Parts: sequence; C-alpha cells; structure tokens
Amino acid sequence: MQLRAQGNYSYAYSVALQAMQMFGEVYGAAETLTYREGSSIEVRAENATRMRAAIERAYEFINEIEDELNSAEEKGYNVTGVREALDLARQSLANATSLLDKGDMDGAARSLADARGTLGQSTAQLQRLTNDVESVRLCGYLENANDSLNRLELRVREQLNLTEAVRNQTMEALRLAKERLQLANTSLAYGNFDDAMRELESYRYRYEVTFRYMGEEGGSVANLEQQIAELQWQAMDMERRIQALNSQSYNTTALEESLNGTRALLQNMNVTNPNEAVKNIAQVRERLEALKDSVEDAEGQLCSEQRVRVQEQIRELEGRIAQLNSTIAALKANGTNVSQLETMLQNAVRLLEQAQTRLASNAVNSAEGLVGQASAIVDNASEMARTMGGNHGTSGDNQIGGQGGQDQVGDNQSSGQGGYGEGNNGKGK
Amino acid sequence: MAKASDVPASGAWNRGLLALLFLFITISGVTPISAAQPSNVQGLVVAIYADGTARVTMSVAADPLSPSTNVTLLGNTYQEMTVSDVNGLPFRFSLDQNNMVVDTLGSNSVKVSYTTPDITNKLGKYWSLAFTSPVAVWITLPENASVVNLNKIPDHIENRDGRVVLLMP
Repeated sequence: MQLRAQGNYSYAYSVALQAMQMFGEVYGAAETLTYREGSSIEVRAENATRMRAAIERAYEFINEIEDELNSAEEKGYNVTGVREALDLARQSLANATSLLDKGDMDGAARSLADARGTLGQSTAQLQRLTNDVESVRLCGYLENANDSLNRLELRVREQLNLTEAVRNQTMEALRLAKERLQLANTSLAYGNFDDAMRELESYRYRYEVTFRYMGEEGGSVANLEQQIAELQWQAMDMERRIQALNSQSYNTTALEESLNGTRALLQNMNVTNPNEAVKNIAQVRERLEALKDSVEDAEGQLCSEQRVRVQEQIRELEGRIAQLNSTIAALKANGTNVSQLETMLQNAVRLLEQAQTRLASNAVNSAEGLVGQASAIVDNASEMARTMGGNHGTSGDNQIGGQGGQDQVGDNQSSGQGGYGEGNNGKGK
Repeated sequence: MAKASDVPASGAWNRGLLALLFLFITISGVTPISAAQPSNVQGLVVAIYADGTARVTMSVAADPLSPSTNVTLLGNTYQEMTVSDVNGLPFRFSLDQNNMVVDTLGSNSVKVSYTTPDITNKLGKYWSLAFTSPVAVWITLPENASVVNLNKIPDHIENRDGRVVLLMP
C-alpha cells in the first residue's frame, strides 16, 4: 500500500501479487494439513490423492520454470539463485512422495508445504530475471521501431507522391511517434518499465495514424508501405532466431546470407511503381517463408541432436543404476545399512522418469537439466558405495554425515538428498 | 490422526476412488478486451489432475509490431503460472480478472501455462469439464478416469501412460 501511495503501481502490484502467492502457499499448506479432520480410510485416501496431485502439479511447475531458466542461461543470464531454489523444492517434493509412499501423511504434508514455500521464493526471484529479459526485449523493440520510423520518414519526405498538406500531416504524425519512442527510451533508462510500455502503446497508435493519413491520398501506396514494414519486423524476428542458432554453435552462414539478401530487397523497395512493388513484396514474402522453413529445420536438427544425446545419457545412467543396485544387494547381504543409498537411487530414477516425460513433451533442455541432476546423484551414490564396499562395518548414516555434512541422519529421504545436495553444501549453503 | 499403519503403504490409494468423469465441452469464439493486440489462440492443451484442478497450456499468436498482446484465460483463479516466448524466455504480464496483457515486444507468439480449479466441477465420483475454446483442444484425463459422456465426438482418442487423451474439435 505504501508503494501504491508513492505511485509505484507496477512494483506495488508485483509485491501484492507475491503476498497473495504467499498467502496461497500458506492456505494451501493449511488445506493440505486438514486431512487430520478425516477419520475414515476413504477420507485419508482422498487426502493422499489430493496430496499426490499437488506434488505432481508442483513438479510440472518446476519443470516449466526450469525450461525458462535453461533458455535464459543460454542467453547469458544468471539463473543460479532460482535454480538452487528449484533444486531445494524438488528435494522437498521427493521427500514428500517418499513419505507418502510410506504412509507418513504428516511428514509428507510438511515437506509439501516446504516445497511450496521454496517455490514461492523462486517465483519472486524469477520476477527479477523476467524484468532483465524484458528490458533487453524492450531495447530490441525500440531499435526496430526506430529503424522502421526512419525508413518511413525518408520515404514520406523524399519518395512518395503526396500533396504538401498530407505530407506535412504524415510527417507530424511520424514526429509524434518518434517522440513517444524517445520517451519510452527515457522511461526504460530510469527503470520505469510500465511508463515505457505506455509510451510504446502510444507510439503504436501514432504509427498506425501515419498510414491512415497516407492512405487518404495514396491508398495503395500506404498499404504497400505497411506491408513492407511488417516484412521488416519479420526479418528482425528471423535475425533473432538465427542468432540463437549461432549461439548454439550452428553454422548459420547460409541463413545469414539469405537474410541479408532479403533485407537488401526490402531496403531498395520502391513503392512509386505499385505493380513492381507488389511483385517484390511477394518475392520477399516467399524468401522469408523459405528462410523460416530453413531456420525451423535447423532448430529441429539441433533439438534432435540434443535429444539423442540426452537419450544416450539416460541409457548410460540406467546402466550405472543397475550396476549400483547389484552392489547394494551385495552390501545388504553383508549386513551394511544401505537405506540411504537406496533412497538416492530412487531419487535418481525419479529424475530420469521426469526427464523421459519432458523429452516426450519436446522439452529437451529441461530433460537435459534433469539428467544432469540424476547424474550428480549417481556419482555421489557410486562414491558412497565404493566407500562402503571398503568398510562394511561402518553404517551408511555415518558415511553420509561425513560426506555431505547433513545433520538429518535419521531421516532416510533427507540424508538421501545429502548426496543430492552435496554441490549445494560445497557452495556454502 | 492418520497412522502409518492405517493406510496402505503404496502409491495407489486413489485407485477405485476416482472412477468416472463426465466430460462436456463447448466451443465458441473469444472476444478481445482492451487496446492491446487481441488474443489469437493457436493451440490449447488441458491436463486434469487427480484433485480436479486443470493445467491449461495455450499458445497464442502475437503481432510483432504491437508492444503487447491480450490473452483471454480459461477460469478465474490461477496458480503456478508461467508465460514465455517461443524460445522459452519469460514475459512480463499483468492480469485483470481473466484478461492477461503480455508485454510481447516484437515476439510473434506467447505460451501461457497455469493451473485452475474453475473449469472442472466435482460431484463425488462424477466430474464435469466445461469451457469455451476457439480451437481444437487436447485433453488429458487423470489416471483411472473414464469418460461417461461427451457433448461432441472427439477427433482422436488414445491412451498415454494409463491416461485417456482426447482431441476435442
């Protein structure tokens, strides 16, 4: 309310939204815990069903945020904070599932509430990341809009056959549109995103008014100019996608040449001869469509290469897990406490299952991230099994406590995450 | 309070409880709301969870020349929402009831995902699913759910990992 009174509506809205989300988390947690009211087996079973659904939903949400993080990371954004929060939430969810499987509803509800709380925090961090991403997007939009206005201004001033009155009217509309762009730029420089967006809406209106003025006299010419402007924006979008391919080490030389050729055609388009302009516009449209197909093919190729790589990693990890299960069976036969190792492997298997699901939904980046986490768990489990193999008389709990610095030795799932979370411990968690 | 010994220690408590789902879908157009570019839904996927909530994922076309794009959402309450571009980068957005304005800024499509309890109605074992969509919808039912009625014949039905998946025209 204080922020609202200060006029900072955007931030006030964001904070209010977060407060509502936190209320939602608390309410959700309280709702989850109300199963105590039920006494019959049916009621408890229904509560368990609801809890499993809540866990599934939370996993789905984490996967989707992770897709965003992977994309943002590829573009060079720092996503460490959000990723760590998501890992924590995932650990709490694995814990909740494990406890639910064992029939410990209290523990499961607590772990689920922990996961929700952590997710609430990660949402706030994600908001900051989104603002960074959107600022870059806004800069690109301003640049494109400015180019587009300059080009149109040149044509209106020097090339189009308009009466003096219409030319002046159009130039004035262009000047006002430019003014809005400058104001948007200034707002962005001061970090006031909402004001920048308002100026851009105003710019957009004035930009369209320009064509309306031109259309009153030059009808088809205005329409042709509008089509050219739209094709220019499409070319800009293509450029962004080609750059994204390039950043993934794809050879984009041919795509870039094709785009440059198309842009040159657009640049030299002359609407004073409408018949020729119509033909040229059709040609550019065709070239952009072909370029779009090529870019989509390249994106698909990169994605399928990555998919194959992820599938191979999954197979390799499944093999390692099978070997570890044999080792665990041998250790168990010798009387060693292997419950923590088993829990770690269960977590790894769950992550691999999620990775398969993500692959099936074409979320290859997210699948790769999950496989990476499973791999870290399997590495830790292998190391632990090796240590246990050399000293069968030592309990698994003590081994974990020594390695991960975890203090929840008595809790199978938590100690299982000790191995999972060793990287975090190393980072001074 | 529930004791561990009172309940089966397996992941299959819901079997037998969630049995029937009465499915009803109405298809009609979507009305644009504000000055921003109106919603142009290209794809819609609805997955129903075992607690009756639904995960809605929609892809919406955006005009790259327009700074923002309007999206009309299904339902009135939303949780676990993500809004991103074709490359998976997040968008800023604002919500006014079921109207979302996304700052698309040159992008040509928006993907919106969220969970809502508002499009399902639960009466014991009998559930109904009702909403308006401008495009064909992929619907995934919860595990062990069966369809007992439909208002339209689906274009496609399959079983995916124990779940019924329908494509409604």
